[in-house]
Amino acid sequence: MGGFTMNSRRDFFKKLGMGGLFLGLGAYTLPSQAAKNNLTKITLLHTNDMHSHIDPFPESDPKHPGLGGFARINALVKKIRAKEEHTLLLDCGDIYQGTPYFNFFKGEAELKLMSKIGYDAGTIGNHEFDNGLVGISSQMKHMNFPFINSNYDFTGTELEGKIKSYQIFNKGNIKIGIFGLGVELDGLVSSQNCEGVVYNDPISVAENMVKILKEEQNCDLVICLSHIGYSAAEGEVSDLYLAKNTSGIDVILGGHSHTLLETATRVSNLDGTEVVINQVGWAGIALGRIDFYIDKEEGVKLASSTLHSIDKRLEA
Amino acid sequence: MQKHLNSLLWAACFIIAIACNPQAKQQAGIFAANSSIDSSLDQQALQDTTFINMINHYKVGLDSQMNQLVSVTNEAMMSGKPESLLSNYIADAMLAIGNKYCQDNKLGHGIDLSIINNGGLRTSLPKGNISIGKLFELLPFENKLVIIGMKGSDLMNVLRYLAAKNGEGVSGIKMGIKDRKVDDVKIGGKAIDLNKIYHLISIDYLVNGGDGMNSFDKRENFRHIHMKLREAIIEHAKVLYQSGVEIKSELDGRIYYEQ
Repeated sequence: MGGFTMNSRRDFFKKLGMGGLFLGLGAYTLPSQAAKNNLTKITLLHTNDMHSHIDPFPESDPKHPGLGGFARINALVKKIRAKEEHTLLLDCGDIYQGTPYFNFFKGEAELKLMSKIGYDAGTIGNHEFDNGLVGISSQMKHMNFPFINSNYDFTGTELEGKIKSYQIFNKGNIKIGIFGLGVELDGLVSSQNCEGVVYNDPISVAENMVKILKEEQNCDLVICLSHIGYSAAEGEVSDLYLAKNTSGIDVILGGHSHTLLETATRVSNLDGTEVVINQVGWAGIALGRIDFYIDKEEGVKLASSTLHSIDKRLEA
Repeated sequence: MQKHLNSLLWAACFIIAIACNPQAKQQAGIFAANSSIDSSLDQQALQDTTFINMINHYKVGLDSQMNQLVSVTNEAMMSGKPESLLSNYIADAMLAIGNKYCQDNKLGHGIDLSIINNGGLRTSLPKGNISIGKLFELLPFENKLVIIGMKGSDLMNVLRYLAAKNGEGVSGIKMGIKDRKVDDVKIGGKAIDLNKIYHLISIDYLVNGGDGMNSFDKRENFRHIHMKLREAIIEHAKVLYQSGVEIKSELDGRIYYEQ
């Protein structure tokens, strides 16, 4: 893998024994005594835009030689789960479309394999609509994890009642709320493939979700699974825009733009609190990882991000 | 836990030093993994025979069809803007496919230009053997080829949109882009005639407004040619390869940026 480089910042953090970048409010004044007693580690693993790339790219591929592969992701996730008690594996949409596996099996192969890998939740990307609403509903019997989306209104359609607007996971003493945001379908998905689906503004939906998850459900960690894209033109919605223009979201795991971030981006939200944004390319060439260290009593949240390349080597 | 806490405190001390670099550099294809390497992932992956068998349940039958050779490339091809080897190849092939259709069906006109969006080209072509499966990965969508006739003045709206997107895959035309605006359009080597009817070949998805393309509305005629883009490209490449012609492409400045 001649394309890989190391930079000194990462080497430095490797020497610390922890890959990645630490983020979060309270990082400057971490009260060590309290933290020692109550620190819980939550490991978020994530993929996006898998696009049916079950097999790795061939070594001859000009862009991603030898990268990817569901079997490798399966092995890596198992290895991480054996070490980390509180792990969530999440996908940020566009599981469908990109190899003959989708043309011939319509999503069955991807969803069965991702269920076997142990995904906890996923969101819906625009390509999930490529075989219409029935192309989603008919394949859901092959998955054992929920699709979460909060800004598509499926009332009166094939998918009514089948997509969760949010889901809560309890890991240790930590309550984690997850909601999902999808991209504007108009101009992206042919109208007959998303007939009856109403797209709602991601910002106002996110505000409402935070209200439910933080205020009503008392979640300690709020995660947005996004398929709206990492960045956009000034004033247009994107993960960066969402992070800056809302409050209460701790982490946005993204997709759609196929953005490969070496380390997670941190952005100040409306309150001045940091939001972690991450996205890991596409086609399973990498597995994203955010480790949160949370002390509920002291209100401390620290995050470190790691990018695991999906190649022949075994990391983690 | 104590080791973790020490690390946390160390990290807290250095957070200010690294806070100035919030947006990670993006690189296509090449990136660094920031964790240690200790053994082979493939070895471990293969040990999970249940999982491998699940993949093989789908893979084995599929591979027997998908591994069939279509043609050969003498260099790797990727998509890109304003033009690229891959988008030029597909657009040139579409133009040839369209012209053959017009001839075979005695339509009395040929195809002046072709348009395909880079977003529709979903992977790169490696150097060497190109299988049916690789062309499924390149063109996974079930989009069908269509031919439409447009007045030069209406076609300009389409070309303006291409310029606003800093270029897409085209063949049969040459145009400059200056500050995302179209400049100096030549079709078939001649300056565009705003009153003439031009025939273009594209895909139903774009012509129906996909990828934000809403400039195809004002058209004089519309014809389905009842072929999926992928099937047509596979057939085109296969026939040429059987007559000794490999997949090839070149950059010729068909779309160029002006200063």
